[in-house]
Amino acid sequence: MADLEKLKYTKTHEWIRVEGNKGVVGITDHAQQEISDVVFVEVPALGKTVGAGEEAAVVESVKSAFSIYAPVAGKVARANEELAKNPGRVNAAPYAEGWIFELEGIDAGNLEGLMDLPQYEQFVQGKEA
Amino acid sequence: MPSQSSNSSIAEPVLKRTPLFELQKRLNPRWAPFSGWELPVYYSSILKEHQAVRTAAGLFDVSHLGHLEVSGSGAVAGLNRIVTQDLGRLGPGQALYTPICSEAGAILDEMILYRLAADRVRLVVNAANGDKILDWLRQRLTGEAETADLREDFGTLALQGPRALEILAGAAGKALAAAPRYTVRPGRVAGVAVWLARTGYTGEDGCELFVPASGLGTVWNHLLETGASAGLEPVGLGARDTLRLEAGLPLGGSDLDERTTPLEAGLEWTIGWAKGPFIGREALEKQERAGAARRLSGFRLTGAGVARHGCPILSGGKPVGVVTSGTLLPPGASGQDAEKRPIPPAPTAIGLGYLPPALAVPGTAVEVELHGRRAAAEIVKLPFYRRKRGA
Repeated sequence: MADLEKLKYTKTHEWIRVEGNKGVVGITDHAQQEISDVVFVEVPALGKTVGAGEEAAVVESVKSAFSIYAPVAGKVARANEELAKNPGRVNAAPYAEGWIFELEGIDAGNLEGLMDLPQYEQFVQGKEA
Repeated sequence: MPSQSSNSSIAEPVLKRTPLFELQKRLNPRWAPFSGWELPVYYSSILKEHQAVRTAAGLFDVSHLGHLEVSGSGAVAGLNRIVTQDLGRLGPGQALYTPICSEAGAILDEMILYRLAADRVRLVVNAANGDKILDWLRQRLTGEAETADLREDFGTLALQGPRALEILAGAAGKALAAAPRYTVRPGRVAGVAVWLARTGYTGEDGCELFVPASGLGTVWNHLLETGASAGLEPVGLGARDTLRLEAGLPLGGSDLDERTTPLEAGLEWTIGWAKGPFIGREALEKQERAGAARRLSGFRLTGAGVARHGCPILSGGKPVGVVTSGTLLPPGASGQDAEKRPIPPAPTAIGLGYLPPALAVPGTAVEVELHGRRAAAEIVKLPFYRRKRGA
């Protein structure tokens, strides 16, 4: 389990773990609970360039498709191909084996607009209240 | 979410709730709006509930379905001029699935008719179409027949699965549980007078109970308590949708609507050609002679992904149809497909869609466009799932 304090969060419930100019992206525990049984994950193509807030992946539950947005602009360096065989990892370990893709070439100095853990927790509570 | 690809307006209408809302709330389900109702999508998980119905039993609250009743000495004769089915086949105590069509042959709604008595027919209609069908009956029904709106008075529970009848036998008596399929009988569960209908919408055996609104909570609790040891679980609308789709049963509002006819939807078996006039007959005869330009077909994705309502279907790179229902088929049910092959253990994406007749042939390769890419698909014979009988 990743250290949740070190992650940044979006209002659309993605997390990103930034190291240097790279960042690993997944969805939060709150998001996986909302989506429920994940049955398919469409990961982005390697090398694809995405802008901040652009759709980068699709997570499918039994019932619906959910868009996963890039928290920051970057180029897709890696995608979690394991999810093709085990999409349920997004539910079981959203911050670890359930990661979805990694971006490179990101501007680590430009993460404003993303939330830290306390801000995200408050955001989720506010939504539920 | 993860934003879901559906629109909701700011001024959302107040949603109706079934009499079981408070009882269901204690089970902490996930709620969702459906046809103006706030209903549980799932209690534990769609996959688990789907499996419960395939392997043991599930209890569904489908009280959003509308109960209408036509009674009088001319009830059956009057209805026979409105519905497409031949009600000569509907004896007292019997049930029958039928569309109601417009003059143009378009499906206004589809429903099961239950002949509760010689002069009394209950219609259980889709939630979204209750007002429309009530008006239609009141305007079109001729002869000695009265139409009553019982939507506030009755709720419906569906008890479905290989162990459903065993649970029913315990709750209502062995004789009622032994009634043949597509029959309806009066009975009593936990002291509440109910109608027990041997019908369902899951591809499993089971029954549907028409329960007076005031007794719905009593019957719901009694069945859940007495059925628990047989593996009975409450099941939400999510698994109801995956179960019916796996069984190849079309859904009103998704696969069937006023843009479709019974001939296009694979429902020619519901057209009583041998009977006299009925609304839509001329249009349907004309379409039958000319041949329907499209047919509802089942498909299986051979490429990765999940097809959803509205996804275009392509052949040779050109759009040839549209997906009307799609889901990922949960694995593990001990059933067979229409070719009597076992259901594959791996999850498979399946769906229904309309295609030109030349392409609506099992084995035909097509593509489905999803999220801006194309996934390979194969037309397959319906249903996707057929229960093992006598197991």
